[in-house]
Amino acid sequence: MWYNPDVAERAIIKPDDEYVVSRLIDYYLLGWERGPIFSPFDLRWVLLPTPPLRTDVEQAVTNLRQTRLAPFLEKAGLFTELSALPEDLFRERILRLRCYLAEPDEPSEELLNKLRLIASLSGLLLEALREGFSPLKLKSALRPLRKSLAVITPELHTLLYSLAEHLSLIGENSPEESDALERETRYRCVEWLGRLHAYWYALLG
Amino acid sequence: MNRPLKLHGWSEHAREEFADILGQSPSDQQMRALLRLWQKHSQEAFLNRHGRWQVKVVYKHKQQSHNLWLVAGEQNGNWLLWTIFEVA
Repeated sequence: MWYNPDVAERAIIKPDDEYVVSRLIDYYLLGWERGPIFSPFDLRWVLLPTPPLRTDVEQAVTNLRQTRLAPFLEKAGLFTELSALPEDLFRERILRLRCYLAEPDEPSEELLNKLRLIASLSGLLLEALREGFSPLKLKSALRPLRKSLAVITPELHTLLYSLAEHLSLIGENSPEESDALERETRYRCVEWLGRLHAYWYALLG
Repeated sequence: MNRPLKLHGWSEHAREEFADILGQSPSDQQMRALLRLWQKHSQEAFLNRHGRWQVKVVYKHKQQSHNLWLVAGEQNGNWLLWTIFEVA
């Protein structure tokens, strides 16, 4: 077998570079950088950073084209003009690459469905925190995702319980004190995000 | 704090939550069925994190069956069915 040490050296990507790309993809898909441990009851710890720019992710992926990861970029459909991809397709393809970075085998549809759902729910909860959704608006937006969670991630039953328990306090005629309910809803969003992200990292490392 | 053995009624919010679960507005008869379920299972009720009494019951109606958490809260000295939820 022909071996060219120069080419091989260029193709090897440093483990820390690979780690950085993985984290950048996570950050882009989840909308939240992996941060310090915080208490959901102490919002001083909760930072809501702006997710990375898509162009930064595109550049990071492009930089991998000359590395050992090139075959995985190809399998994920990322050997193309990235800026021309519609957002949904771009997210789908970097999700696939993220799976290859965790395990070089084909990701199962079951795994992809779990990750898609976690990313959607994470995006919604972060949007609710950033935009200051009313509890009622959040409850309504969460409805279809709760149904999907029950089907796609039944192992997250205790999270489903937490969602159902808290959302049952929210309503047009809720007897709860509205300021307290709004405050607790924010705490819960942070708690749910923490649990979703922990699950994401448990699946992908 | 003594757990309520009987509930005096329900909040409008509880009715709305039940409607959400059933997919249609419940009749008074269906709401009273929940009060009876509370009475039947009240000994199993526990204090939840909000300081309200909570118990799990199975509600059956026609072909449907729901595992419901009933939550009771006190309002103006009366125990009411405060809210209801189902974990999908």
